[in-house]
Order: sequence, then structure tokens, then C-alpha cells
Amino acid sequence: MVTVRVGSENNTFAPLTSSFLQTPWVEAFDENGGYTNTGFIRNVIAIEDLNINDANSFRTVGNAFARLDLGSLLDGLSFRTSFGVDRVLLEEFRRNFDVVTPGGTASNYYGQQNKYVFTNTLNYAKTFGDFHDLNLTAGTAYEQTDIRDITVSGNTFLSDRQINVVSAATPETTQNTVTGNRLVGYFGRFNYSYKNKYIVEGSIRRDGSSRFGANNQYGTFWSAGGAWTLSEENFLSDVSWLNSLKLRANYGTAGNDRIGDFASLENFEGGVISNYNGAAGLRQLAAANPNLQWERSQSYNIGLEASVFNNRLTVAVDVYNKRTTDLLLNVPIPQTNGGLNSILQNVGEMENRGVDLDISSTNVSTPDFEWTTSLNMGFNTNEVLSLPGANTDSEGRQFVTGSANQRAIVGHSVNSFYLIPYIGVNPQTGDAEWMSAEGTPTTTPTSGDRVIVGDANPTFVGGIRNVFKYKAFDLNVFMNFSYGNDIAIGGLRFTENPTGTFNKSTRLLNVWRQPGDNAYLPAYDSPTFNTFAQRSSAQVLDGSFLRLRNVTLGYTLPASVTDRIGVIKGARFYATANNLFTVKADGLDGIDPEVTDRIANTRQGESFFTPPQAKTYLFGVRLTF
Amino acid sequence: MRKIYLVSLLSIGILFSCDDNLQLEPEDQLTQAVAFSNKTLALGVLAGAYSAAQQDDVLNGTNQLMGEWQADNVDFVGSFPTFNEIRLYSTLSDNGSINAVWDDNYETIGTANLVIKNVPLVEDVEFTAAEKANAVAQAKFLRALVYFNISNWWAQPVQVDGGNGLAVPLVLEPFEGEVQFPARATLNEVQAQVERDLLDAIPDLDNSDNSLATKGAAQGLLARLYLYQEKWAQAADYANQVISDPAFTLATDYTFFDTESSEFLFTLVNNADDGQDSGQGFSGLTNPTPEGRGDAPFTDNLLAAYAEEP
Repeated sequence: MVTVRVGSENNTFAPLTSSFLQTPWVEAFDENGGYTNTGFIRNVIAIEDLNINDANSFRTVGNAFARLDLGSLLDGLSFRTSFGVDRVLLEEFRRNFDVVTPGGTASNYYGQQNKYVFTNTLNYAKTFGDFHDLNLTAGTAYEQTDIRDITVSGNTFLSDRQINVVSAATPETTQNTVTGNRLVGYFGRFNYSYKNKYIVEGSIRRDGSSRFGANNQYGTFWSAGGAWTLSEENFLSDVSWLNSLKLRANYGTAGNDRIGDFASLENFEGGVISNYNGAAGLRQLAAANPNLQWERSQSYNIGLEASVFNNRLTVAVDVYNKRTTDLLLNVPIPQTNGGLNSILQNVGEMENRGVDLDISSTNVSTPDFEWTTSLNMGFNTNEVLSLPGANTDSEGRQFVTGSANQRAIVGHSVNSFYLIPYIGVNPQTGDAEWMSAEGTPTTTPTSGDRVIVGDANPTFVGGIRNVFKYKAFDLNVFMNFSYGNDIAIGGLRFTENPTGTFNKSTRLLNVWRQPGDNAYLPAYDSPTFNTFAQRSSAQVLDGSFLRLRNVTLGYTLPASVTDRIGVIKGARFYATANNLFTVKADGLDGIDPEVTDRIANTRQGESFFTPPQAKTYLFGVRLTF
Repeated sequence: MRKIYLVSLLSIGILFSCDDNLQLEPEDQLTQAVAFSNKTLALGVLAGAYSAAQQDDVLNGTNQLMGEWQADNVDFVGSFPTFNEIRLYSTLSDNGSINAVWDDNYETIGTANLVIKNVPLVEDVEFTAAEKANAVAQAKFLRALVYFNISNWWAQPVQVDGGNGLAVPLVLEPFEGEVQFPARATLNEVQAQVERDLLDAIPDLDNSDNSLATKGAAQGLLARLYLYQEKWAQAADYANQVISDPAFTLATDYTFFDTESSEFLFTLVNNADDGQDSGQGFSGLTNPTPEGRGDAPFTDNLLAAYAEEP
């Protein structure tokens, strides 16, 4: 699949970012109609029209298995072996032409990931008597991932008519890297059910990962659970409105090895970053942690499923609590330790607790018209329980810094925005004011004035779907929402900065001029004029939203018509619109609330300028033959 | 039936042998033990110290431009609010550019510390005592230069408080796994270490290659240190040693700028694949667009001053 891409976020090649930052008098075209070079804030029109920025991925997945029935050895016994291959080929090509980057640049990346999964299981399944179902499994799994990639790039082309790196006069990068990991697992499971009324399950597994320190590659995990179908019991058989009622519970542990390959090893690295004046060199880039081990979680889950009134209403409620220990976090260390910024460590405990709710109802059901609604909502609370060995803040709480905006803080969310609270421009003095640690306004805040000003995690998220069917027409409306999460928009430090050379937001026109003004921007001669756009809660916005994600209207040809046509069995005409509108907080003009800049656990909810998601419209017909 | 047994056992056997694969070794990451296992690799770590010093924030631009911005020799019209804060004297504690200067300078110090501690321990008959002493002396010069630079930024000068004010933490041991939380040393303590490192280095350095630490560079830096400390006689003494050294001569015009001219006591040589990473170094910031970023143009009075020179 080929994808033509544009830049995003903190990158002046990104159309949205440059449109925020480009001053309005800059011309994209010269007097002859040619593109201009607009300097550091790029000419995104030229980029869009000229540059090549393609990504191409090709994936091959294959799986072969064999099953041996060992019933002659023991009734119900079987053996299954399976071997899977997953190959992903990624290719990226970029070419910046002369007007965008003088001389031009080209780069080509080629990455090959080979993954092999080999699983062997011995299974014993048997029904004893008429009602006792027993299922036992023991097995082993092996997973091998190898990644090899190549990047070449160069600059200074004679002409834009030359496309590839071969035509570049100056080579920039000729590099290949290799990485990989191995996973080994041994596991056993049992499942027992009586009349499908009482169900008991259990499992145990031991997993090894090459990513962890030599001392701790293996972890053991287990789970136990059960379910009780109450509606099968005699004492509920008379309740006519109840169609089914089931109670389930389980408790278990699990492991997480989602860290980089070789992350537990020290690293003295060569290459162009370590060379000097033609001589090859080595630099110390990472510290070893031979004790690095699996991140573990213990969770319980209690759920109730009920279906009532001829299955017109179904409700499922799950209450859960998941406690994660030995959290895998990059713990910052003083940079005086060889300039290393952090060490990957198992530190601390975190808890996620909450409720998941699923409700489906058939509101109207007549032969011609049907209306169904389904709602799902997840309420989650995240709390860091402990961070042994971490630094302590001024309030005595231990914390780990995730980014310049956020921290994981004991007793609070793992994604707490920790910033100086911004108050506003004082109408009397014309100075911008922030809240000091003492609780009094100040015009010269320091890092010691930072407090928790927000949380990147929502109070609840969910979706609601309504389906209407009238004769041959159907209408499907899906909305999703998030409530109570904050987002930090780094780009506001630029657009709201009166001293920078970029384009500025029109809010800055509201300058304080005389006592009594309720202004946005401090007075021109205020000492806070230069510090107004500093990192503070002013860049933290409400990330709550309600989005009309999808509307689909369809019409299915009646069978009488298709029968007459003869060739087709069925035909459905439909029109779909995605992302029609979003309800979001003030201050988010042009900014999408579903920010995506960071993927790290401790850097959620942050963005520079997240491009809005596309509105798409689709008309189609589906024919069945 | 026996066949089936065989298949099962074979499969499980394959898996147990796969167990050894968990000891997967990276193909390009070396350990410290390997890095100091022979002369070639150990000298590679010394090259790495120069390479670390090639970062923009150490000897390649931003560190030097910060002073030019504050002195009005160079303007700042670019995009980084952190650089603009420096120019406007409105720097805040979350200034990421200053953090990078701190980080990269301590990385260079850390690499020098690795060489100073571990090169004498390398067991390699090819690595002579004189070569080891020269490698250690080069690392001590780099360490002294970096401490000299950062203590100028992070301390009041001797004239303000007699050098008793706090400067930067003095880290003289390499990072070998144990995280340390060093306190800031006084300027006098840092300058005493700079002096000690330079005096140690001078006997083991020579003037054969000014792309590496030279005896003249160590003497010159020591002269400057003494000058800062108002030790006039010693400053003059070390300056005279350099001036009278035939290895160094004054250039007649500015064309020496991009060469390894004997005008330079020490010149950090950048190749095409070096330094100026992300265009935030000296040439990236000061070169006008479209070649550079044009963020930091020279001021008119600086250009006029140069224009007056022959």
C-alpha cells in the first residue's frame, strides 16, 4: 500500500504547523508564478505540489498447522503444531526539490521485519457423564523477530529532474541497523464447565524475553476465574421477563515487555555520531540494567450480564481493578552522569480501576420500523501508588518526569500536567500574573511554583450508536466522546508569543493599555511581555470532545426487484460521511482534541499542532451475486 | 504410535533448544569492557570524546552564540523561544536549550573521564606508556576546556565573590552504572581542577597535530585561566611560551578561517557528516537562508568592525 504523506506536529514542513506560524504577508509565488522559498517556515504549497514523500508497506502473513488426533492413545487427546510467518516490508522515499531545500535532498529507507511464531500444544477435551466438560491444554510458544533496515540520503542535485540519491553530489547517510528480540513461553490452561451453568477456568504461563536483563529474563503469570449462569437455575426459571443472567469473576497476573530491544544493555556506539576527523570512535550512549525485568500486573474483574424483556434490553457491567508493579519507566538521572539522561528501570506501582458499561436496547420494533441504541462507556481512574527511589517534589511526593509538561506523581495520575498556573493579565498593573507556590500572584514565577494543573487521562470515554431501519432504508449514526482529559498544546508557546517572528494569534491584539483593561496580552512595557508565552497552564486546554464519527444511510433493493433482474442476489446503495462535526472546548480552533504527538506512556495528551482529522464522504453500492 | 511420540518429543525438543536464543546479542552495541580491551578501541573512546565535543552545544556553536546574543554581536530573529529568551535576558528554568548545553558538556566530560580512568588500565602490549599518557593528556585538556567554558556560564566571575560562589558540579569519575548526585563546587574548586588538568597534560602533549589537543592549546588555555584569575605574571609566562613556540604563527588575513592553519592552537575539525546537527550549530544559525536557517544574523556593528580590518 502506498501512502502519500505530509508532515505533522513540531515540524515546519507540516502544512498545519506552517499555516499557524507563517506570517500573512509572505507570498507563496513570485511575480513570475514560480514558487518562493519562504525560509524556515516552509512554503507548504510548494511542498505539497512538488515534493515526494511516499511510504510503501507490503505485508505477507502465512500460517501452517498440523493437528494429530491422539485419541487412540487417550480418548480426547490431540496435538497441534503451528508455524507462522509475518514479513513486513517498509519503504519510504522523500525528495525535497530545490525551491524548498536549496540544492535538493533525497532519502530512501528500506526496512524488513521478519517474525516467526512456532506454537505446540497438547490438548485434552472430554465430556464426562452428560454434563461435565473438561478441557486441558499444555503448550510451548517461541517467537522470533528480526528487523534489518537501510537508509541512504544525499543532497545537492544539479536539477529537480534528477530524483534519486544516486544523483546527489554529497552523500549524507549510508546506514543500516539490525535489531531483534526473542520470546519463549510455556503454558497450561484448564477449563471445566457443568451444564454450562458453572464454569471454572485457570491458567499458568512462564515467559522469557530477550529484552530483559540477563538475571531476570523469565516471569511467571497465572489466572483463575469462574462464571455462573444464574438464569439456568430453577429459582429463576419462573421469571418470565429475564432471558439470561450471568455473573463472572476472574483474577490474574500478566506481564509486559513493551520496551526497546537490548534496552537492558550498556551501549558504546560507533558510527558517524562517534567519529572525529575521519577516525572511528565510540561513545557511551546507554547504561546497563542487568536486573531489568517484566512489568507485572494483577487484576480482578467482576462482571454481570443480563438480557431482559425478550432480549430487548441487554446490559453488561464490569468492575475492574488492575495493579501494575515493577513499572517499566525511563527514570531521569542527573546529566552529570556521563550526559546520560535516563535509565530504564522497574520502578513503582500504578493502579487503574474503573467500570465498563455496555447497554443495548431495541427501542422500537415493528414490522416496518426498528430503532436500536447501543452505548458503551468506560470510567477509569489512574493512580500512581509508589515510585521507590524517585525524586521528591516540594510537597513530599515522589515523581518521575515524563516530559517538560508532565510527571507521574505518587497519589495522582501517571499523566499529571505539572506546570506553573497562569492567572491572567492584572487589570490594574497590566502585568501577566502566575500563581506562586505561596498562593500569591507573581510576575516572575519559577519552576518551584509548579503544581498539578491537569490530567491527560479522561474521566470517561465511550461511544453511542443509533440504528434506524424503515422498510428498505437503514440509517446508522455513531458518535464517540471523551470527557475530563486535558491536553497541552506546545504550539501555543509560539502563536501566543508577542516577541517571536512568527505569525501570531489575533488574541494578541487585545493588549493592556490602561488600568481597568481586561486584556489578553500584558502591556508593551510590562516586564512580563517577554515571558507571557512561557510554559504554563496557559497551554493546557480541555481535551473533552463529542464527535459525530460516522453517519451511513443505506437502501437495500427489495428481493422482488432483484429477483426480476435475475443476475444479482442483492444490492445495497449507501452513503457514508465520516467525522462530520466535533464539539470541543474553546481555544481549540484548528486544533484536533485527539492529539497524537507522543506515544510514550508518560507523555500522553501532548501536541504541537495536531492536524484535524479528515472529513470523508463515500457513496457506494454493494452487489451480491 | 511411536511416530507420533517422536513428533511431539521432537517439537518440544526444538523449543527447549530455542531457549538459548534468549541470550540474543546486539550486533553493534559494545560493552565498556570491550571498549577498553585494546589500544585501537580505547583510542576510539578518545575520538568519541572529540566527537561529543563536536555537538552544537559544546564547541560547535550554540554555547558560543549565547554570549554573542547577549553581547549584541549577533541578533536572534529565528524560531526558538529558548534562544530568544537568552538574548532578551528573560531565561526561565525550563529553557531546553540551556539544558542541552548542560547535558552535552557533561557528556563530553563523561567521555573524557572514561579515557582518563580506563586508558591506563588497558592491557595491550602495542599500547605504550607514552601513548597512554598522551591519550590521557588529550582527555584532560578536553575536560579542562569544557569545565572552563561551563564554569564561565554557571558562576559569577572571580572578581564578584572571590571565586567562592557556586559554579558547576565537579565530576571526575566516569559513569559506570552507579548514579551520583554531585553538588555544585565553587568556582575556585573548578578552576583549581582546570589548572591541575592542564598542568598534568602539558608534559605529555606535543604540537604535531592541531586538530587534536596540543601542548600550545593547553598552555594557551592555562594563560587565559590565569588572566581570568588576575594572576598576571603566570598568564604572561604561559602566553609567552605559546607565542615563542615556532609551531604556531599568526595568519596574515582571514582566509585561515576554515583551515588547519598554524594560527590555531587547537581547531576542532568538522567534516560533512559532523556537528551542526539539526542546523542549530554555528553555521546553521548564522548562515542566511536558504543555505542556513538565518536565525542569527551578525549585527551591523560587528560587520562594520570586520570590514575595517585589511
